Amino acid sequence: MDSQYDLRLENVSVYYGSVKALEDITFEVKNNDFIGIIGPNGGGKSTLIKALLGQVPLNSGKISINPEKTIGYVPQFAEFDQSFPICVEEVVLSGLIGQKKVFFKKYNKEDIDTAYCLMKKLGILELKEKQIGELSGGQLQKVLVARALISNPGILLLDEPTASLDVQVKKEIYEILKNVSNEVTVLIITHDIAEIFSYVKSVAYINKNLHYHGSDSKMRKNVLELTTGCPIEDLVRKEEELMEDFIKTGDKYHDQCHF
Amino acid sequence: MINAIFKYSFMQNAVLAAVMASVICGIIGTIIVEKKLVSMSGGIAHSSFGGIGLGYLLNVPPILTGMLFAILASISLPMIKRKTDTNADTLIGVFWATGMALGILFIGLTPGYPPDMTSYLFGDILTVSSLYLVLMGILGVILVVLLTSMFKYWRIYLFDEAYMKVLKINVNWFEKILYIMIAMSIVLLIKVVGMILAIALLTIPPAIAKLYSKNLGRLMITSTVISLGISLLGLTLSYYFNIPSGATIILLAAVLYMISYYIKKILFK
Ligand SMILES: Nc1ncnc2c1ncn2[C@@H]1O[C@H](COP(=O)(O)OP(=O)(O)OP(=O)(O)O)[C@@H](O)[C@H]1O
Ligand SMILES: [Mg+2]
Repeated sequence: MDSQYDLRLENVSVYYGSVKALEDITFEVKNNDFIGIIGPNGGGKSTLIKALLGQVPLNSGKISINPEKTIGYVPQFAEFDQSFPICVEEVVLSGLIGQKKVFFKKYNKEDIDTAYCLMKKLGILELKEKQIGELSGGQLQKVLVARALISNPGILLLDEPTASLDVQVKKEIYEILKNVSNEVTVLIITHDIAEIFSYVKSVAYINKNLHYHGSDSKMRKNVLELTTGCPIEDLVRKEEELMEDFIKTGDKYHDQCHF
Repeated sequence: MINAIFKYSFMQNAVLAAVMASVICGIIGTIIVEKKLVSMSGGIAHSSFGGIGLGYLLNVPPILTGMLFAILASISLPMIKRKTDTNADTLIGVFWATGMALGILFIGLTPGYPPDMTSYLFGDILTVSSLYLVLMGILGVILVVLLTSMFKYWRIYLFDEAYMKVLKINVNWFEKILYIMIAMSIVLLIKVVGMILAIALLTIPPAIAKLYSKNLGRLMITSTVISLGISLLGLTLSYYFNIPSGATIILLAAVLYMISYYIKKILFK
């Protein structure tokens, strides 16, 4: 495999029984790319990540992953039981498991420092002794991001990691990802089409098929057109027409409105 | 009671069995409760009845054939589930009933008077044999060593198997070992409290412990201590009042659960 590419999908199709989730997807993700995956609900984005992780079988096609790199993953939905007796710090550190010895494993000072530093950055350090079920949705999401980042993975796959976060934290997470993407290949699924273009290096729009994949200056325009279903020029024109209408009618609708 | 322990070897055996059963319960009980394997454990317990019946028919120690059946069930249950995509609950029901039916059939086929099954159904800690004690001791040591030497791995396996797979750790290995340990534990507990009550002894102590702790290691230790307390007390009561030991132990556990629940409610309101 060409070592310039960390992920390569060739004609990948995935079906759940008779339900088509992905069809004939072909694209590559370059070393240290920061790619945003965009598409409608049910478009097969999570399936794409699960295929990369080997969690769903491919009906056809081939996936190659740079064998020298380890993977970090933030799932869209926590698959574990939230009443499980484990605390935040232990969950974050668990991202390191599998790297060192199996028997009588202990986390050393360095591991714990890394964990604390990461948790501080994400604003969850003071939650470190909380049981995992006592967190809010957004706090839990941050814990999962920390667990994925702690092992310094070469490839980071994130499935809507910012879905339940407030604007400030969302920004912080994107900044963190942007920073790590100098050394790490980041693939992120998101619906934040307003913010994502300031951070990513490339985007792919997936709705069963790959409708767009690019990293040029037009990626924003192309994706917005796919997302809204009409050319951006039309959207802009419509807005202008509305504005004209609005001026012409003398705002008679809005007078009745109190807020 | 203390005198009786010194005087009668059956009492010494009973006390030893109670201690070892408590270690097994504390560890395996906490695991099956946290991993949501309680009904699967019920299925394994009842499957073993087929093996116990077979033991009588073939005239070999029923515990060995019972253990064989339990281990076979615990290995094939997850395998069939994966292969056929059957609902786990349905499959457990099938194993549960088939095991019982086989047991009844084998015992029916056994020549001569039908053997007395009550000690398998309801347990009898006062007649624990030395074979049992040796097996329990071996299992207890294996459990403690396995758990303490790889505690961090077990915790993540129990908590989030899917992420463990992402980290490229062989989850199957953990699953197989765990299921075999569960199967062996259940069969050994059958002698103490009986097949019908084994699940209760596995689940009530962790449930009590969970009222007070949210740390996996502490949960296991607390459950062990609770099991030990109730089984020794149950043993004493059954000795003095000449009542069935298994039922006494389980009823004590249930009462302790209720008391703990209300204490917690009052203290931590
Ligand atoms: N385990 C499953 N079994 C059957 N069908 C599934 C399964 N998971 C997903 N699907 C189907 O596959 C399609 C793609 O699902 P997927 O979860 O990949 O979408 P998505 O792009 O991640 O959507 P969202 O934005 O809502 O997260 C959907 O039609 C969905 O119904
Ligand atoms: Mg999804």
